[in-house]
Amino acid sequence: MNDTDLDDLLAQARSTPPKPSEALMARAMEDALALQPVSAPPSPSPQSSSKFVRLWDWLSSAALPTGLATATLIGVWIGISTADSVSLQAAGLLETDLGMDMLHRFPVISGILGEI
Amino acid sequence: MTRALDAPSELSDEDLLASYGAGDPRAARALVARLTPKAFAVARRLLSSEAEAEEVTQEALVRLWRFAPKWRTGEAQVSTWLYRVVVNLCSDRLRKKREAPLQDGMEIADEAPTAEARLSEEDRQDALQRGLLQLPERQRQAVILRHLEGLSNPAIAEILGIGVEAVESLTARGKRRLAELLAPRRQELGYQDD
Repeated sequence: MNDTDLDDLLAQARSTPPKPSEALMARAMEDALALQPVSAPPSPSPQSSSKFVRLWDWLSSAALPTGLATATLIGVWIGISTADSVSLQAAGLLETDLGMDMLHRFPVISGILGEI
Repeated sequence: MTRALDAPSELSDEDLLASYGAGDPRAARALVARLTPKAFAVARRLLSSEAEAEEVTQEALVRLWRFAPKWRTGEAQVSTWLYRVVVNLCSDRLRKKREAPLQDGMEIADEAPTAEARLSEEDRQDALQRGLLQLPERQRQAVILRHLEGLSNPAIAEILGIGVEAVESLTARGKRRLAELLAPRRQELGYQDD
């Protein structure tokens, strides 16, 4: 099959994308409303002085490559979370610049961090 | 400060997300209408199961709703972020289940039908989907995002977490492999021999 034929087939597929069912749309709507804040979100809380947050802040200020800093933090988090079930919410990680940067760069970790 | 939600359809995803985070249910409705089809289309093409694609779509959107109050304007595109979550969730499922490219019973026919046996449009799209599911995962992702979702190479690079040149390479190799897979069915698909 030549490029022209395949491009034609792909173009037809592009014009007829798989469509979500009405049931899925309803569930998505239900989730969106259930998880929507009822008012403007509160201001970020003051940073916790936990050791993990201090490490987080030090790494964010150190002149480390972003990938190295991120990998280090994820590794430390995994160690802490399995050791003594530190609550990430309590540590205020997501209120720090590096925490938010990680979530923008690696959205998949929103699942690792659990309830945000 | 969020913009007044007079005409949701005219607002950017980011503006809608800001309004959503501020508690406006109209923004919720607009975002669901706009983003659910996008997320589902990618998930459906990446996975062989419609049910799993629906689960991935719902899960990806839940993560967005939870993240919305903390979204920082100007850092990333909402759709790019969402596509990235969808692609990663699909990869997780494929990795965990060691899913075969095709579901049971969805085997590609070994024998080529006669030239007169043209497929319906639905069958043609089904044949394309089967071909896509036989591609290596990364090539499949690149081809779907580029040629079916119409995203730019830089956007795909951001979604897949690779460089633009790597996207170009994956897309080219994926298309080439797809053409090889579909070649035996060329006439059936309605294309003439060269």
